[in-house]
Amino acid sequence: MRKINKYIFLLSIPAVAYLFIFTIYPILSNFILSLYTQDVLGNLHYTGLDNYLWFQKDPYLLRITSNTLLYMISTPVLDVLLAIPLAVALKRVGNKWLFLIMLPAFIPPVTAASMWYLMINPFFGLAYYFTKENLASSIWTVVLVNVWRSLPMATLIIYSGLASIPKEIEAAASVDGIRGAKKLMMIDLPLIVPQIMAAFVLMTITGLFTFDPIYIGTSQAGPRILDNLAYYAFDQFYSGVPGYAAAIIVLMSIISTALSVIYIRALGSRKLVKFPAPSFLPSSDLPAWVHKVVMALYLFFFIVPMYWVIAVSLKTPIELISIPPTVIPKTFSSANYMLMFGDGLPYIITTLAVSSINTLTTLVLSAPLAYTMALHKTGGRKLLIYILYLNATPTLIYIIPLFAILKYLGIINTWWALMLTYPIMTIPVTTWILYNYYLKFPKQLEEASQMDGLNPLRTFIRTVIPLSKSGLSVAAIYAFLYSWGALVFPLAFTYSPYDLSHPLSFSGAQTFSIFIGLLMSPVSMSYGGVAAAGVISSIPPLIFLYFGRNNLQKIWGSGGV
Amino acid sequence: MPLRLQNIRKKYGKFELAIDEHTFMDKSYNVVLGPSGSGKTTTLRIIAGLEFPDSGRILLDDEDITDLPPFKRNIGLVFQNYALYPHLTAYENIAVPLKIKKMSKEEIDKRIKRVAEILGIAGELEKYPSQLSGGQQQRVAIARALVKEPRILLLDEPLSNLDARIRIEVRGFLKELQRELEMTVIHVTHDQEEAMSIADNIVLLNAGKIVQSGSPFEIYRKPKDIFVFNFIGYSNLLPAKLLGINNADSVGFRPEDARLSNNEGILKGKVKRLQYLGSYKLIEIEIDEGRLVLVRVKPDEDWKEGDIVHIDVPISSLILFKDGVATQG
Repeated sequence: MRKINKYIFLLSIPAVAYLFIFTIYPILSNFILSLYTQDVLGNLHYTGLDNYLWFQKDPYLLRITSNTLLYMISTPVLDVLLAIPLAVALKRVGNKWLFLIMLPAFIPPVTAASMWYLMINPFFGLAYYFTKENLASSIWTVVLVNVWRSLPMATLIIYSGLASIPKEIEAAASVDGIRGAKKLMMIDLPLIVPQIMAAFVLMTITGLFTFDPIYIGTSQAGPRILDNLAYYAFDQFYSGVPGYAAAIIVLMSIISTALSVIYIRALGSRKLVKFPAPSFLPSSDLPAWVHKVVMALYLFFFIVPMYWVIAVSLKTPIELISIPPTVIPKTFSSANYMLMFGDGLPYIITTLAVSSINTLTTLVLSAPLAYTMALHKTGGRKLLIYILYLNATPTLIYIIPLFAILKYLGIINTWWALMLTYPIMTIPVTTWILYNYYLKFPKQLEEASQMDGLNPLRTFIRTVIPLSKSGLSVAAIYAFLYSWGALVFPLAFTYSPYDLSHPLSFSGAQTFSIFIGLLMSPVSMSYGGVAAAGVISSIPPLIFLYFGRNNLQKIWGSGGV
Repeated sequence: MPLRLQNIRKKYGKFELAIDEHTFMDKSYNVVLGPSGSGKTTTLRIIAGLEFPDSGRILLDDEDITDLPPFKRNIGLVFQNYALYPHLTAYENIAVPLKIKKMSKEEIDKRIKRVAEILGIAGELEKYPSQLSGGQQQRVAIARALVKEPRILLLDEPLSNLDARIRIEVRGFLKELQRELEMTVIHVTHDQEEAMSIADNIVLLNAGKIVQSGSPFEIYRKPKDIFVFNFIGYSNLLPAKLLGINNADSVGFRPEDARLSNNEGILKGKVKRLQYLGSYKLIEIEIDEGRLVLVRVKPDEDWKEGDIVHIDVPISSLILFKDGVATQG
């Protein structure tokens, strides 16, 4: 091996090794585990296809399957249908509004779900004024939460497609007299089919693995009503039936792999489709005010739950349970925040610490990998596709084998467990972001450094890192957001809050997301606390959104394999 | 024997670089010249260590450096677009190679001041690359390459990013610098005029092979084949039969070796176009259906479009080619 290659290898191997151990092993391990059944003593027995055969007998399966299909289909359909008008309005009104539209995507998923369940509470929520029905037990509420949180990303993807339509084509269409709805059907939509596909498939996967809204919703609606396969699999794992859980996860892995393949194809697709453009379609631009009204409606939809959670968080305990609920708090109180900080401190500490550390770990591992992938074609197309695959693969898939590893290491319910596993969810996304960033990095600077006597390792540290601050900061924002809002891993690997009496043990590692879930549970039913916690949990992401507002498009910029 | 290439082979798809043997002249100005796709950049990158040959050896002062990475070779390279570090000042840019060698601050400062003095950028050292003109950026890039006192200085198309006006100035400067420091310079370019004007020795590449190596005079006056003859300067190439020569396929001569008159010559034709180029005139003469001959005449010779003229070329100026290869020079 030439010396250069040795250094390139050194730069990429940590992340590659990590991904191999912590993703490929669990994915394969699920298949094996799904052939075993655990007895009451916790020992595994080989039972062949029994777990799969149980599908037919499982009394919940019909409901769960139908829920799964509903979430999986309605989320992307609604997302894409709603995202297109919004993206069109955005292009017309100007992308300075993108920042506000992206708000929901930056709210942690558990918080987003809590916001909506606070809203739809038939007595204390804003829903009191609209319906007397308890929407908490409706599966459509889960869809609503899904759409609220994923619509911004779908919009961003589709908008990035619209924004990349060459000016010459726009001009040509204008000269040919094709405008308005006709232009949308004849020019815009056909050109952004790849983006629409990508958004659709990505949101299908989001829908398939809907988890957080069910986690929060179940405490309001009761068990099994909202469950889908993902939540049910988790529940089976949690209640000591790992073999069956693994079987469900294997099934979902196969579906999500198929979807990922479509997603990756869509990203690289240059395929264009013609749409029918019936002659009755108006060929004139809608006046700008229409776009503004459309935009305002969406913003209203996005902002109302945020307003409500802030309002609730500031109410006094008495006002909280007054019927009818007050839309604007009569008196402002900090009681909920006091309560929340009192009980929530250990959760906040864990979440902040683990998220910060994971952001650093993720960058240290993924930046060199992304760099060598972009400039030295490390791993080639295969690695790139695998990274994209991991991006589209929900973390739920890994929990059962990871639990076994962490148990073997004796670090269940410690910070170490989270620090070791969090990079699984963050490395793929930051590698993808940085890969695209480094594709534009001038290779000559690397060569100049080598001519100046720096080996590739020192070149990376002394030349590449100082010159990639903007890329690294976008990646850092993402790594932090994913870590900050994580639910599945902490739920699976921890069971108590950080033990403040033995701080150096770093044991007890439940996160803020779990805290919000606990406050939401029928036992504590602390709506004021939930609201306060929701507000607090949204602050760090929103700060990042503010600072990253000019790079939003870069986040989902180029693509293609 | 400063730098020798032996049996170098490097394949890229259909293209193959194949240099059997070449030694660059020590302490002199070497120019690697060739059309785009001839392999000159690959040659330069192989010498720098940025590419590795599939086979063959590179010897620097009889030491085999074939497998050494660039950062272990004592070779400086000035990139075509300079590749300065945008986040460092000119001073810091030049300091990079010295810092790596763990030199003391004082020694680094002394060396940078000296090289900046030679290159005439002493006043620009605190500026960032974006604040420098193209010419200044290039000098910083040269300083960065020179400051580590490399055995060989490589220049990749050093004039291509400069305005036409300062090109001639920089050309003179580069040659002067080489003379002053008694360096071995290897300069890569596709511009034959640039090569002729600056080189002590030219290596002419075509399709991955060295077609000729020699002084600019030899290359111009004694081209080894038709490619060299056509690539360098203006040229006329005619079927040998037209001139009544039987021991060759084709015959070449330079426009400045031909003379025009009204009555005597080995060729006859009609003036098609005139180009007045200041110090001389270039006249295109159609001798056959569509076959053109270029003749260079003094600016005061008064020929007009449509004139019937005779072209005379001294036998000694004719270059004969057989199967594309020169038979006598």
